[in-house]
Amino acid sequence: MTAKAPALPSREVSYGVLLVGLTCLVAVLFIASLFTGRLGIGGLADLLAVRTTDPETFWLLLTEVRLPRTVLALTVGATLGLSGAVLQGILRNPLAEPFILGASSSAALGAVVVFYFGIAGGSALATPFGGVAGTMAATAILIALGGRAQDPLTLILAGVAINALAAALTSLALNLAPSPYAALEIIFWILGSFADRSLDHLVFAVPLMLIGWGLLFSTWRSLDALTLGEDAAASLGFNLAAVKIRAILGCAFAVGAAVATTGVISFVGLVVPHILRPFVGYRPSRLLVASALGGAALMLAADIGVRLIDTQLELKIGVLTAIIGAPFFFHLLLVLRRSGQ
Amino acid sequence: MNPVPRIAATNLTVTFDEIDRLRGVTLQAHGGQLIGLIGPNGAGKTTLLKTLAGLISPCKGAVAIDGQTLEVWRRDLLAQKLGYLSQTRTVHWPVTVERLVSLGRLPHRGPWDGLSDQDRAAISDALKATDTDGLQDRSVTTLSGGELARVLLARVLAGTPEIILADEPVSGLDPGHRIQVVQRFQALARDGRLVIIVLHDLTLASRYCDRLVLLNDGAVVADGSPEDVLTPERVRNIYDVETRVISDGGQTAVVPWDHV
Repeated sequence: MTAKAPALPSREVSYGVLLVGLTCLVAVLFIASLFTGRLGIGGLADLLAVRTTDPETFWLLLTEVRLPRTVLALTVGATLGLSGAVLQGILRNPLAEPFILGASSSAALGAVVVFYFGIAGGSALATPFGGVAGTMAATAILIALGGRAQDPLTLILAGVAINALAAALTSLALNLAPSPYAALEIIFWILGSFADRSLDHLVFAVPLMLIGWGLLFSTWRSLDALTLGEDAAASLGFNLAAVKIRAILGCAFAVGAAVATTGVISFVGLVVPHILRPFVGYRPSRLLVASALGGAALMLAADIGVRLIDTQLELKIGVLTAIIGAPFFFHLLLVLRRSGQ
Repeated sequence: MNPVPRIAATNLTVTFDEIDRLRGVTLQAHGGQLIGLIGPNGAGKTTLLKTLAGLISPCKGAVAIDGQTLEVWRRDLLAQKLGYLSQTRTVHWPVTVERLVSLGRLPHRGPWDGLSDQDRAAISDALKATDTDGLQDRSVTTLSGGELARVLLARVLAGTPEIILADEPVSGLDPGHRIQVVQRFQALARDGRLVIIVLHDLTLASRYCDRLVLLNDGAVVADGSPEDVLTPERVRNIYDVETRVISDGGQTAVVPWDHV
C-alpha cells in the first residue's frame, strides 16, 4: 500500500555536502587509478623514475594505457549508476537496473552481432552502435511493460526473459565462432573489463555516453512526481510518454556505448542508488547526480582493486562486480519480500 | 454566474478493452459548486473523472476547461489550474510528508527554483487544512491509511487549484475525518472553486454536495440537487437498497437502510 523501497533509517545529509564529497572521492580515485599498475608495479614511484630516465615511455604509458582505462572506469561507472537511478525512478522499482533488466546483455549481444557479421568491418568503432541498438530494444520492451506491471517482480521476470534470450544468442555466436580469436573477443563482452582499451575506443563511446547522460538527466523532475504514481504525475503537468522515450534513448546511448566498449558489468546500477538513496532523503531527482558520481567512484575503486589483487591472470571487473552484486541482489529481494511485497 | 463553464464535457464516449466505460456523457459545471459523482461500482465514475482531468482521451466527445478544449491546454498551465487526486494511494518511495505535499507545488515552480515563500505558505495551509500539520517530518511509510489519505489530499490542495477532481477522497477515513474532509471541500467550493468528488457514501453526498451526478453503466442517470437525484425509487433501482431520510434544521440526509 505504501512505499515499496525497503525502509532504512533516514541518514539524509546536505545535498551540497554529499555532491562535493562524492566529487572529491572520484577525483582522488581518478588520480590513484592513473598511478596504479598491475600488482602494484608501475606505481607513482616507478612512474616518476621512468619520467626522468625515459619521458617518452612515461607519457606513452600514461596516455595510451592508464588514461583510457581510467576514463572508461569513470564514464562507465557514472553511466551505470545514473541509468540505474533513472530506471528505478521511472519504473518505481528498487530492483530495476541495466544488468538485471537485460539491457546490458542486450547491448553485449548488439556489439557481438556487429562484430560477428562484420558490419562496418566489425571494428571497435562500430560496435558501440550495435550496443545502442541492442539496449534500445530491451529498454523499450521493459518500459512498455513497466507501465502496466504493478508488481515489481513482474518486471524482474521480464528482465530474466530478455537476459535469457540475449545470453542464448550470444552463446550461439560463441558456438559458431569461426576462430579461437573470434571466440575470445566474444567472451570479452561477457566478462567485462577496462583493461587494454585504447583512446580509439573512447572516441566513439564517450560522446555516445554523454548524449545518453543528457537524455537521462532530462527526466529528473518527472521522477519526483512519479513518486505519486503515473496518473498523479501526469496531472502535475508531465508528459510521461515523452519522459519514457527520453529514458529509453538515454539508456540506449549510455549503456549501449558503455557495454560495447567494456563488456557487461553487472549490479553497479542496483547497488549504488540503493546505498545513496537514504542520503538524499529518498528523492528520486536528487539521486541522479549522486548515483552518477557514486557509480564512477565505485568503478574506479573496483578497477584499482582488480589490479592489486594477486591472481595469476588479471581478474575481470565484470566478474568481480557479479560476485559481490549477486548476493546483494538476493539480500534486496529478501528485504522486499519481508516488507510486504 | 460565469457564463463560460469551468468544465464542459460534451458527449464523452470512452471505450477500452472493448467495453464502453462512458456512453455519451454530457456535463457542465461552474465554479462555486461541490459536485458529488455517485453510482454503483463499475458505473464509470473514475473513468469520467480521469477524462475530465485529461488523463484519458475520449474516443468521442471533448472536454473544455474554461472554454478551451483539453488538447489546446499547455500541460503545465492546466496543472496549475486543475488538481487531481487518484483513487490509488500508493507512494513509491519513503519520502517525508512535507516533501510529498510539496510535490503539489511542482507546476508552480521553474525547473531550478527552490521553494518560494508562496510555496511554503501553500504547503503549510494544505497541511493544516487536512489536519496533517503534525505529521510533516514523518516518513510516509509510517502513516496509517487514513493519515496517508489526508496527506495525499494535502498534496492536491498545496497546488491551490481552481478545479479539484478527487476520486474517493474519504474512503478509509474515520467518520470524524470523513466529515472534516468533505466540509473542507465544501469550504473550497464556497471560495469559488469547482470541486468534483467521487463518493460512495450517499449520506455524506446528500448532506454536503450542492449537486449530484448519478452514473450507471457509463451514462448519466440523474443530475441535479441531492433531493432530486436520490429519490427512493431511483436508489432502489440502481443500488438495490431502501433508504431513510433524516431531516434536521431544514437539512436532509439520505441513509441507506436495507438491501432490497
